[in-house]
Amino acid sequence: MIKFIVRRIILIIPVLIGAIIIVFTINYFSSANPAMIKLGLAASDPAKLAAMEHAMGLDQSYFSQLGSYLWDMFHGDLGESYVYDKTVSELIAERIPNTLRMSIGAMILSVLVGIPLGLVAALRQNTAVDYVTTGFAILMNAIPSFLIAVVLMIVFSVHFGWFPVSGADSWRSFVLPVIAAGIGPITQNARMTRSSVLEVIRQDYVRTARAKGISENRVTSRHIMKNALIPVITLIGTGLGTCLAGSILVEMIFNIPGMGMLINSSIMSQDYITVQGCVLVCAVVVTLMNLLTDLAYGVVDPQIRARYAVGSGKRSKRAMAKAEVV
Amino acid sequence: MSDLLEIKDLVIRFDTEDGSVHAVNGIDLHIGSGETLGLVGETGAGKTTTALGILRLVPDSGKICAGSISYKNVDILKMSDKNILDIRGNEISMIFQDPMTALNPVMTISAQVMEVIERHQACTRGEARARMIEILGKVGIRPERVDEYPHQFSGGMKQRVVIAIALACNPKLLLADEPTTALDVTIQAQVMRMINDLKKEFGTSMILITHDLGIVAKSCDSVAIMYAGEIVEFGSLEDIFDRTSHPYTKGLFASMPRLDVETERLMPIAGLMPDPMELPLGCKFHPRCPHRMEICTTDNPQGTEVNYGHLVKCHLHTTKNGDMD
Repeated sequence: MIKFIVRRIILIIPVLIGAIIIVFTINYFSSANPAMIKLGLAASDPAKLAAMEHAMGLDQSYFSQLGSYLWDMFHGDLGESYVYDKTVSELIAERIPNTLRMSIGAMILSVLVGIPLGLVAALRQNTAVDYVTTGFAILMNAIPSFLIAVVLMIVFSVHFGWFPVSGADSWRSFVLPVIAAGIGPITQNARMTRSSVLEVIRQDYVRTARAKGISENRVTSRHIMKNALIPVITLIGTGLGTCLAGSILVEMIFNIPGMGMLINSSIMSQDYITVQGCVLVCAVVVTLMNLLTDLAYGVVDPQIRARYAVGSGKRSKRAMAKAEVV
Repeated sequence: MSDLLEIKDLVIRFDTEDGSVHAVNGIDLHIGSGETLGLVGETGAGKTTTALGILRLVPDSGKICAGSISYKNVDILKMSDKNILDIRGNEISMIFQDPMTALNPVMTISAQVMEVIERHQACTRGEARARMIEILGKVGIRPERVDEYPHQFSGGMKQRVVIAIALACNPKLLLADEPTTALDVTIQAQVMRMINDLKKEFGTSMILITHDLGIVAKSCDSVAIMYAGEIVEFGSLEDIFDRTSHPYTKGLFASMPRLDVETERLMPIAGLMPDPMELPLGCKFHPRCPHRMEICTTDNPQGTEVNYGHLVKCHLHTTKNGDMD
């Protein structure tokens, strides 16, 4: 199991390098000249511009620029912002707590609300409860999070005045953004749970459990839910990615200084090195979440757990065989 | 002596979008303490539905429309939900047909067996575990394997676990739904021997659902032949095997391969079982019956006692004019 985790963490590295190469390449071939952005008005002097280009390494080839960026990246240096007088790492460190608060809040909300909704809908299949829940889920899934954010803001901040309209000063500022970013994942979790439970409910082992005389509550919690949640776990994992993406728009609407706002303003001011850093951090978060998802699979499904253990064993045997051949 | 279980005029129907499926159509059955009753019939005859009806586990789309199932003189169908839970797995338990799907894939074998013990017996966790190891040992699963998961066991081993769950609380009545159909022929005999031994040890009654007349001959005291949701012939093992009366039962025996008779081909019963959504009028078997008479197409025959305890549902035996072959 530990072998499996280590192997998976090592496998994250090529994924990150891939993501960085793509973003770096797009930036490299874009028309913007970082030295001009950094110099601002002083860029009109060709001598100064040339000096700055040299200082930033812009006169070197694509590969050597990419190489030095990757080299710095592995040493924890994401470069300096063209616009702000700060390093990219500092900018991200300032902004990321707000974004994580929102995304993780939205994810927790989607689990706490979405799964029970789906379960109730499935257990009361084809009743009013089911129709209302499923209808709500389909409707909400179709509405983008930024629209929900605006509606929530108008109703609860402007009209009722229960929550602040913007900013990130207290926990109250996060209530509406979390709901807005969480609605999508809630509906997805609800629908996935519903269909998964409906499938499990018809399985023979549920009938075996009922034939033991145990209560319906116990049948649901121990036999139905344990099995039905396996596919839902994937969705929860990828849900964090959705929440991150959703939070970019939601942050802008609620004016929360987070990664979303940073990415947006950096794109606007052509501060591409900051964009690159943000993409890298998001990629790290998403890949780590995927790893956690895979590990969670192993916890709930003994068959997959067994495969993890066997998988690493097999690989080492194969490696040994190879070594012998060589 | 009164019977342990007596089913009277049981009717079970499934309501689907395409119409009603008449799965069980007014059957009568009785079984005494320690007896084994064989319930024999083709696939789709309503055998499993009958057994599920006894435990009130007919799936949601199904409905028990009429009849009574009295267990120790109490009607199971009129019991409160709580009382039926006390009976399931404890007084009456069931061995399910397909061992590959009958066990929960995410729970260990030990947890699945202990669950039923802890539910019905006042005991500590340690005692429940000891009992679990004992019962799994009886079905031939070694103590060091009990904490494994179902996917780590073969089909035959899983069937043993299913049997252990059914026997864990020493039930008075065991409903064995084709306990050996999904198994290898070599394992079949072993499992049947094991069920019979355990049954003898605990004095359990059993309803053995099967389509294998060989198994019936070896383990049953009485036999009910089921066709299209009805019991067409019921009697002691000797009645059914030596004094076979219903044309369908005769057909079943004729279609069985035999070692002592030289035949070129087996003699299958012509035709197929009727669609339970559109059962024929009159006797359900008449479209396939070689002795069909005028009356068979219009009137459903009543059960007639051809000799003591041997009931046959066939016009050949009710009508005096029916010339027996």
